[in-house]
Parts: sequence; C-alpha cells; structure tokens
Amino acid sequence: MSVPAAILAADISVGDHPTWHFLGLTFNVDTMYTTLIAAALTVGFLWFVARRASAEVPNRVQVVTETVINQARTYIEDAVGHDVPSWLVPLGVCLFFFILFCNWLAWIPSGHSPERLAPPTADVNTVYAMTVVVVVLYTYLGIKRKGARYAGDWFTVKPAIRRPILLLEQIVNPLSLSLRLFGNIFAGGIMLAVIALLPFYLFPLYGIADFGWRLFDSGLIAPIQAFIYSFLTILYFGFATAEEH
Amino acid sequence: MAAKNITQAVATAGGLIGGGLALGGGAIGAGIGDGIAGNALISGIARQPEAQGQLTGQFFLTVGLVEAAYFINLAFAALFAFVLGK
Repeated sequence: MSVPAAILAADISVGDHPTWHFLGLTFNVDTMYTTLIAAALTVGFLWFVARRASAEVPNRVQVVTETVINQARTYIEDAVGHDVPSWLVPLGVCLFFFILFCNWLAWIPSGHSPERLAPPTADVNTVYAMTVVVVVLYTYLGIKRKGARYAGDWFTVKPAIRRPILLLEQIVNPLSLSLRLFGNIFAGGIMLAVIALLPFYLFPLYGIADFGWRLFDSGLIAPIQAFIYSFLTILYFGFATAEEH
Repeated sequence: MAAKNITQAVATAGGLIGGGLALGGGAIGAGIGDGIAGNALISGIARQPEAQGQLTGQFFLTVGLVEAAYFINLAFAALFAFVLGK
C-alpha cells in the first residue's frame, strides 16, 4: 500500500469514544474516567505540595507551584481589583493544573483506537463544560458587583461602533476559549494516529516521530494552552467586573 | 476506503478538499501572525536586551493565541476529511 492510500484509508477513527447510554443520554465513558484520573492527579499533587511545603528550605516543585499561585493572584488583583472573592484565585490555579494534567495524559502511550488514556480535553464535552462553569461564574460575579449596570453599561459604551462588537464578544470569547483548547489537544491526538499509520518499512522513523511529537505536545503545547485558558478566564472575570470611569 | 459508488467518491473528495482548504488558510494565517509576533520580539530585544525574558514570555503567549485559529482549523479539517467525507 502506498503512503497516501494508507493514510487515506480512514482507519483513523476521529472522536470515537466508547459510549454508555443511560436515560436517553449518551456518555463518553473514556472521557469520564480520564477526567477522574486527571482530577485525582491535580488534587493529589497540590495536596502533596502543600503538605511538604517548608518556609525555610523550599524544594523546586514547591517553588514552581508558589510561582504559579502568586502569578495567578497578581493577574486577578490586576483584573478584578478590590474585594477579590475567596474562590477566584483557587479557581485560576486549579484550572491551570487540571488542564495541564489533562493534557499531560497524552504523553502516556495507551494504544490507538481505542486509545485508553486519551486526554479528556480532546473531547469537546469536557471543554464546553469547563467553559460553562467559567461563564456562569463570571456572569454571577459581574451581576453581584454591578447589578443592573452589568447589562446597562452596554448602552453607555463610548465609541458607539464598539457596541455590536461587545455583543459579538460575549459569544466569541467563550467559544474560542473552549475550541482553542480542544483544537490544540485534539490535533495532537490526530497527529499520533497519523504517525501510527506510517508504513512498516519506515519503522525506526515511527519511534522517533512518535516520541518527538509527544515531547512537543506535552512539553510545549500542554503548558501554553493551560496557561492561556486560565489567563483568559481571569481576563474575562476582569471584563465582567470592569467599572467604566 | 474504496468508494462503492460515485456518491461516496464525491463525498470523500469533497471532504478532503474542504479539509485541505481549511488547513491552507489556517497555516497562512498562523504563519503570518507568528511572523509578526516574532518581528516585534526581535525588535524589542534589539532595543532593550535586558527585557528579553519578559518579551519572550509575551511572545509565547501571543503565539499560543495565534495558533488557536490554526488548531481550530485543523480540528475542522479532521472533521471534514475523516467524518463528513466518509
């Protein structure tokens, strides 16, 4: 089989999950258990770091985690300013680490079709669910802070041409936030599937390509996308609570 | 994936062409965007070498945002080529 025919053979099953049908709803079973694994890793890691934290002799992991937390706090104080709600910094930090551990599941080879440890962020449902939570929370905070002015301020935005753009942003921002993360991680999965289809006579190249791509995906794309998601979340909280002067 | 009839052949062809267009446009946009960001980074370092750390951090943030459009295109290209073009 020539190379193009091998790849076009559409042996790549894209977005296939083992499903479970219950009460008329369809659940992606593998996403559910990999989400639990990533959540357990997040909670376990942060709890472990807190337990081993020492003020005199911090180890490197503690320093990195503290840097993340302080950076999140800095961005949040910049964006939201006064009266930062107590759940906001933990939300930012947890989003970062949870998405990071979700994406890092792609580093572990676990077979192709079915891929047993597919990163849950490669499933649109996970990503949409996270974004729904973020949108609900920043809308809640915006209304709690500004009351009716949350919507009313739209009528007083100065260059009037900005008003329809602001309305568009309400839809585009959450959508791009979710699809950006989904696209990055999902594309990683597709790349691995395409590498797996390399013909047998290129066998040594397969190992190098697989490892190289996993390294790029988990080393560069995963942390950057986790950071962008949490940073933009904090930014949107800032937009929701912004006071026009 | 041998097409069993002309309809399936057309669907596969359409899916692959659509995927190719999505990838092409996305790659051009991402390339230009990353290039402009890189230009700003190099100019900034040329003016102020001690700001290199901060500027590089901002550069990677911008690259992540620019590549978002490309990766969304890539996800849709996969959708067109492998799911809709069956």
